Amino acid sequence: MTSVWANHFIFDRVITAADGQHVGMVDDIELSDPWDDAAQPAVERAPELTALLSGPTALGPRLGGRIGTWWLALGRRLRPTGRGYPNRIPVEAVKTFDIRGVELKIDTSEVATRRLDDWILEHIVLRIPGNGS
Amino acid sequence: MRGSELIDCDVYDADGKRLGAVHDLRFDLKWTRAHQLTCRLTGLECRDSSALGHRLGYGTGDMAGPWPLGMFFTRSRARKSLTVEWRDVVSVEPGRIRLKRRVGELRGESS
Repeated sequence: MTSVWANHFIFDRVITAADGQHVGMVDDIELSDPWDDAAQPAVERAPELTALLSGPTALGPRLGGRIGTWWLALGRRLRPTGRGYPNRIPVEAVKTFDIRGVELKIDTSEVATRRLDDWILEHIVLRIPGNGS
Repeated sequence: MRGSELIDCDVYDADGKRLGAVHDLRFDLKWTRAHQLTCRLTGLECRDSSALGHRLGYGTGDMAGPWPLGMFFTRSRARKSLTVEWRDVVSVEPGRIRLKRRVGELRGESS
């Protein structure tokens, strides 16, 4: 068992998919609710990491203040309609986790953080004449 | 619950005295035999002032020099920093965390 600090070891780490593509950064983390099951003793009720969150709607609240509010508003306006935000990577998909970054068991196509890139590729880049496709 | 909901929360002891704000979260990280990551929150780093020294690595012992900065941040940390165990947390409300122990007991345990 290793004891780590979030600012030093978890936040702002680069997330890499199984195919080697960078798919975002750890902007925030999702924790289990410690008061879901009050029958358990206090130590057992310690929150556990359930997912890594990435994207402007994850980073905004962590930044806080006016800059954080603006960043969150920007992220909300740019998100695709009908999709859940922020981008969520369940902890079950994590293969390695160290000071250099997070490596996933899943490929880029399965990671929600690439949705904006895919949208730009499909709706803008591929429509430009001579795009090489 | 998000990690950012705990960061910057004011921490109050059993008497209602403010200890500072949460600047960092401590986790126990473990891999199961099935290579599944479990990461459990075990403590909160509380400070009554800027977390600059902690963010630069002086709070966790990762930075040793240059010596004037090391000495300054180590002394500053000893004076103002307090690591609260998660088992001492009674409730988490928006912007506020309550503990079940008094500040004297917590400082006695951490020193």
